[in-house]
Amino acid sequence: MEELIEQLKAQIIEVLNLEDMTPADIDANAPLFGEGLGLDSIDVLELIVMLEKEYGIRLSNPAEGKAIFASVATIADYVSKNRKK
Amino acid sequence: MANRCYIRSVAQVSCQQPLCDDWLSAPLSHDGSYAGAVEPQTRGVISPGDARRMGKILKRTVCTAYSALTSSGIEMPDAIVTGTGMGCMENSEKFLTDLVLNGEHCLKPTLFMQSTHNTISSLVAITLKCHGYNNTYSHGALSFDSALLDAWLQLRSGGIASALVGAHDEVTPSLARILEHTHPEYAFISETSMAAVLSAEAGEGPAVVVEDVRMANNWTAEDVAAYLGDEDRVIIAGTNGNALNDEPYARVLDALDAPRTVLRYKHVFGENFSAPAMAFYVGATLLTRQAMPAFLVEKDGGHGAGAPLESVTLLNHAGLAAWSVVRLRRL
Repeated sequence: MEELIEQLKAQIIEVLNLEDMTPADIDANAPLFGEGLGLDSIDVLELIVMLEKEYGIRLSNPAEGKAIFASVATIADYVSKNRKK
Repeated sequence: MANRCYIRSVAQVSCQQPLCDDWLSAPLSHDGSYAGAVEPQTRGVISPGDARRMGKILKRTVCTAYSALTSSGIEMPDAIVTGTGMGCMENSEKFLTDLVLNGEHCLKPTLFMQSTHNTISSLVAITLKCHGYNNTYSHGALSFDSALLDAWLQLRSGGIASALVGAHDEVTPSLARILEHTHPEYAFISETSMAAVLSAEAGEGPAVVVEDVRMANNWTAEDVAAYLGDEDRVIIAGTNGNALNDEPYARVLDALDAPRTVLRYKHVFGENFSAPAMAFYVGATLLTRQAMPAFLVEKDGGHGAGAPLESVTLLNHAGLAAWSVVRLRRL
């Protein structure tokens, strides 16, 4: 799981163009939205595209999004259970 | 009586030092047929959170708009009018590459949202929270002139009191390779981002006005020459040293009955669909500074060294029979 979390951090930095950040700057358990990284709804769309492209995951239920994207750790947990590649 | 249209400020990002007039005394020289823009510092102008979603052209646009507005003393223009030939080219390329490589299922929303032509003008409006008139013209090498004509007419008629007018084009290396084939009349390709603040009221400092803006798509060289009057003594032309480009200008100048001083600018700022905006920038700068550096002079028509520079006429040939003439005058 640790390896997946580090991989996700690097992918989030790349996809969201967080130029001044390194994986070490991201707390895996910190909220991604509002506080923490301060991401917004467009970033969610970018992350949804990233999950499909990198892990073959298509989110079919939008209501799950809030829980899945709460933090890097929750994304990693969801990816580990649902990844297709 | 129509209002005057004062040029309150101009700002540029190009292959010269950005957001300054260093090019007047120390122009950067570039080897080869293509040079990208010198990027401006965005820190202090664009927050890191906003900047991460912006492509280069959007950052340059915000920087030139911010610089021009700050210099003009006008915080909120009544209108934002923009010209661009190709819009957000870099994002368009990335989006289309994703489409080819990954199909339609994994397209990035930011690239989709920020790859249209009118993204540029609307982003400035969003950044300024400007709810006024906002329009984008994409008419090849007449894009800037079209935007200028729109703002000029509205200012002259009293419809608006101020406008942020600009032209922006980014040229990626792959687009440069394409342009070298599709536009053999080009000599030196580069990128342009230019913003100007126009106002019905004069600001502090020298007063320079846009006296006339005229576009035509059915003019012969003789028609252009006939439109140019005796007062058009100093002409900033779109010549670039390439005979394919320069021949129409030569025919116009040959048809004039008196010698004119001809200045050029494309060897300094490069060529793209927004390049004519740099003629406007150069003209406004020379009139304000009362300068005429020797490296701009293509033909000396008897304008004496040190003589007051009262007006400049911008002459832009946009292919076939399409021309624009813009007169700038110092009051």
